[in-house]
Amino acid sequence: MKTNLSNSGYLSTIYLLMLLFLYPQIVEAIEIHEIRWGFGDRPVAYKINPVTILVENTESQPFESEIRLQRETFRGQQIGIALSTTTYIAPFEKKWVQFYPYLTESADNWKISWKHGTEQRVQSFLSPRATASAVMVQLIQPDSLSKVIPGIKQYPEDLFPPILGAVDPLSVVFLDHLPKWEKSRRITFLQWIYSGGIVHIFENPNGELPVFPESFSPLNVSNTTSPVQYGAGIIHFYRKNLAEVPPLELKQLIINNIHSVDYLRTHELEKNDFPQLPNPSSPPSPENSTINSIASDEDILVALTEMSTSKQIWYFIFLISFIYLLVAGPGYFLVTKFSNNHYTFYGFYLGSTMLFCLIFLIIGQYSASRTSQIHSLIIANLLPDKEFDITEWSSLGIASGGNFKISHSGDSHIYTTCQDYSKVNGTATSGSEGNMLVDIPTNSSRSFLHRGNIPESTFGVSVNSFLSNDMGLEVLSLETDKHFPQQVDQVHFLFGSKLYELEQEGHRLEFQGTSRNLSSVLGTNALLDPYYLAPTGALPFSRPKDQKGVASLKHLFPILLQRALKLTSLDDSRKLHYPESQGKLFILSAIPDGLFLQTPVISRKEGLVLYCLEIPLTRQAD
Amino acid sequence: MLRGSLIFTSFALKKDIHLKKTHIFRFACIGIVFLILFSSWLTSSRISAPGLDFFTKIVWLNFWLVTLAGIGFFSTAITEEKEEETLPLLKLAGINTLALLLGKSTVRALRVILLLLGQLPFLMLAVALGGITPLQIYATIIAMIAYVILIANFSLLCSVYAKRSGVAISLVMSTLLIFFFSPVILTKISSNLQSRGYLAANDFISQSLASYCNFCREISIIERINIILSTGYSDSVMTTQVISNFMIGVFCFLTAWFLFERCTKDNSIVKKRIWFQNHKRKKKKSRPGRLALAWKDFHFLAGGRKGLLIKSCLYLSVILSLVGGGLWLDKYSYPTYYFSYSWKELMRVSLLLLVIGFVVECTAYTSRIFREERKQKMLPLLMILPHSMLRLAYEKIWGVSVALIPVCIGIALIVLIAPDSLYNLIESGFSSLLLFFLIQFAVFLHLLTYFSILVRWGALAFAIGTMVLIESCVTPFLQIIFLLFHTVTGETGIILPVFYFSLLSCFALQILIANRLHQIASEE
Repeated sequence: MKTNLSNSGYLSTIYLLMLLFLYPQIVEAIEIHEIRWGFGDRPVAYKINPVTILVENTESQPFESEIRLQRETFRGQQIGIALSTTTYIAPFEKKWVQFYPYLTESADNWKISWKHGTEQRVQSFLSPRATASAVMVQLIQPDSLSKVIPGIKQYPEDLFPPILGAVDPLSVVFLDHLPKWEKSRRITFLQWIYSGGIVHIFENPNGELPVFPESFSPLNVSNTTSPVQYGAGIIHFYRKNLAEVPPLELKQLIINNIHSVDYLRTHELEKNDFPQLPNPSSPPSPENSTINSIASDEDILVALTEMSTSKQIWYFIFLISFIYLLVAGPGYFLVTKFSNNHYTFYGFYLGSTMLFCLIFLIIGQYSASRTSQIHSLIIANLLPDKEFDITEWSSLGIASGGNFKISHSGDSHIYTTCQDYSKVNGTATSGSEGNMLVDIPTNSSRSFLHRGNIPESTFGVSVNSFLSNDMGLEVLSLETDKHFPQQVDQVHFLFGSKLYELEQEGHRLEFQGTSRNLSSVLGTNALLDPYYLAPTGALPFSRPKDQKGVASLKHLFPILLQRALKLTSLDDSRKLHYPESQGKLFILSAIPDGLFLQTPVISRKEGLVLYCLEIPLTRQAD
Repeated sequence: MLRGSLIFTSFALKKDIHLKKTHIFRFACIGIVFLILFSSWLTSSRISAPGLDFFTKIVWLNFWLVTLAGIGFFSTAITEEKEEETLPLLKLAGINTLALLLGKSTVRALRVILLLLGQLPFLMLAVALGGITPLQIYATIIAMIAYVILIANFSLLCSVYAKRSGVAISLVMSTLLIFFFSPVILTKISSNLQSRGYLAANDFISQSLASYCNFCREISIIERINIILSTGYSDSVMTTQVISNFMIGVFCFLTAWFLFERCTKDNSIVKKRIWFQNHKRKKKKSRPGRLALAWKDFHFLAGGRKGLLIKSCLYLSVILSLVGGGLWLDKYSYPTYYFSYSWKELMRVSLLLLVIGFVVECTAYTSRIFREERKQKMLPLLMILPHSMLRLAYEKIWGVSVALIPVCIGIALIVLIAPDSLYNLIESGFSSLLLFFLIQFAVFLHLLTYFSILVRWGALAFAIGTMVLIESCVTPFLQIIFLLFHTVTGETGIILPVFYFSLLSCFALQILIANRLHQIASEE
């Protein structure tokens, strides 16, 4: 009996231990109730999208800790960098927490993790498949009962991101009330319009157009008539109640309005999932083909990495490798035929191994980069409040490895690695103190995409003389101020569908008669040329090192132009026609120190910035 | 004495270099490293530290191969002589214990170390690719050599102690499992008990567990590799892991030397085997019908009706006790930060355990499906039966398939009671790869069957090793194909050829198995 009891006790202990091991799930101090992907659960591929989670603190103690969002494969391997944010949630309270990940076309597994005491807690989510075209949303008040309009997603205004880089997936906003926003969201919304956003303002349920305060001045209808051009953006006003307009009429109304301003925008709109009108003249094109026809962020980063990688004598390396293979295979076998003494064989084996080790070690040391360097490409859009909206692709090559904090001056930063294959050891935080803490091994590089606002000394350009005819521009002279960039490489002016080359003469930019069709310039995609820079080309051996010497950042100008004009396909470039009342100035110059990263301190910096300025052409002058 | 002892070692080394297969194997191993290097170079622009990535792949490949060699290659050094009953002959020939141990085991370890050294030149190229320093490469190679010494000599000790190769393999495998997984399991259990208030953080049991886990981590090659591969590694190449693995290896060798005579005096394998067979014969009650082979395999290989009953009870009790026990544990304990177990989660865990049980059962039956006949020299008799080889094979498969009924019923029960447990498994992303895993498992079972009639011992280790090697060889090719054609074909264009290739491999292996069976039958 005693034995039985002791046996049962023993078995119970084993059983208890087994259960404890099998059920390791722990009560979370916080619970995640909801997750929203992008604007209205329609994330846009190859863009930074806001991902908003509703978190509840279920304990009587306040929660103040870091929450991380990380993409992972279905086998649980992490991909890319972990996004991190530190938040405070009062006891038994709920709070929306926002991350800004870069999403691709695939539906991915995402892991949200946080620390509770010494334990790491994890919850996984599957993201919806991202679409290729930008989205349109109706901004609504939280918990309001606004009528749902078919084809237009509703998005609570209190979740509108306070960072411009996170609003890239948005193309059109419908508004029928005054949003209750703090300063950061208000500024972001206005900056988004200035950068090319379209806003449709309708009457509120009282039958009046919303009255906006001074801080929203461009949206105020009392100033002017519809539509209002604000930077590259457009604001339309409608004397109608949004809820009462039938969907098809609404679409026709919007398309007609946009047609009168900008053809491209119409094209963009037609691609959205708005109720489609029959259009037999334009056959639909597959979304994927349009995406693939322009250089992706990853392609640009790969090209920069190629440039920053130190020269390596790969032909020689593979020749020596082949010789070693011959030695290791038939070589050793022949030794046994020539000599019966096994000591000779083992001596030869160890000797040849050491010899080839030495050769490869010397090659490795020769190939290793001795200085840290950065290669960057930047698009800098001038914003109204003397700031630059920055889109930066960089590859940071490090000679001596370690943990690095990548940060820039200014505020509102978002960092992402656009990494589709491998894990990046580190975390990226966004916002005013945004930075990227990343582990970069010795003699390797880390490429990243950065979106941010930097208050670098901005410059102004005014129109001196301007004359155009049906064929295009005849005369153009622009006056620059003293802050105009010093090391200018190229200056172009976009008018209609042509790109006009301008020459710098003192403080003036003059059109000398050279112009090209925009589509022919944009059709030159350096990254798709197999003999130029082809990191994923079909012929890996056809990229000799001298090609790299010829290749320079300047050759990537068409790609910068594509991205600056926010084109999603080469078809768009053929259809693009800038409005007559406006032109766009592009200045390609060396990157000033203020736009390069602030930390880590890098001695060798190389890069080009494409400044983009909207130039209103209100009069014909001579 | 030492000179005399080294003669046998010297002879083994000399014999080794005159074997063609040794050269082919070495060339293949170095060729695989070159292939992985080439694929890493191709993708180098898209990876931040391609050298580190390449080196990491090779290091883990080596780790798995060395571990599998420990299980299947080193652990049979002495037991194969015991089973062949050639050990007394060797002793009669005047070969002393030291010579025998050095010649049988140390030479095997040397072969593996030489193979590792042969890869070293290509590993040095990782420096050129970027992301790793020569110091990290040296440290990893030294750590790996120390691990080879440890595992070779521990396996030798098990081989000396055990009477049969199967026992030696089981000993090595279970020790490695305990060594690598016990720190993780014990840490989880300890933190669980602490959270429920059963243990204090600084009491004796917690401290002892923590010390044991730290010790295991200190001497573990896995932890060492992770540390070496981290950025900024600047420690010495001679670490606690290297010294301890070397010392434990030497200790195991000396112990094996000391125990050798004692453990090899009495060779009672034959007696035991006869007793085992007689015991089995006594248990036979039913008579075979038309499907005699299926009947035989069901009763002798899979345990028969009694086995079915035991397994049914076991699986049922697993489900009931885990689900009920989880709820019971929550009822009678007061966790500070633990979830109440939901029964769906408990069912999911049970499902996972049953799936593991299914895999283990399939592996166990497959590894023995033809081996028993081969061991008992029954294959010639099988071949003269008036049945085709296909029928013989499928009849045997049918016999062991019946033994899988309890686990299949268990899985079906869980799916019926809690369909969510299956949906969760599928929705977690496995659905797209389910077909891929299934076909890979089928290839693995075919390989296992083939190796079970090709090699005397360690068929499982050989099969896993071959799978690892094939994956390592095929992955660079797939990576190259994907890079060249992914814009045209997409991911399906890569997955489907792999599926069809695996299917073809299964057919090819079936032909190889049939040929091998015919060959064995004709030889015997």
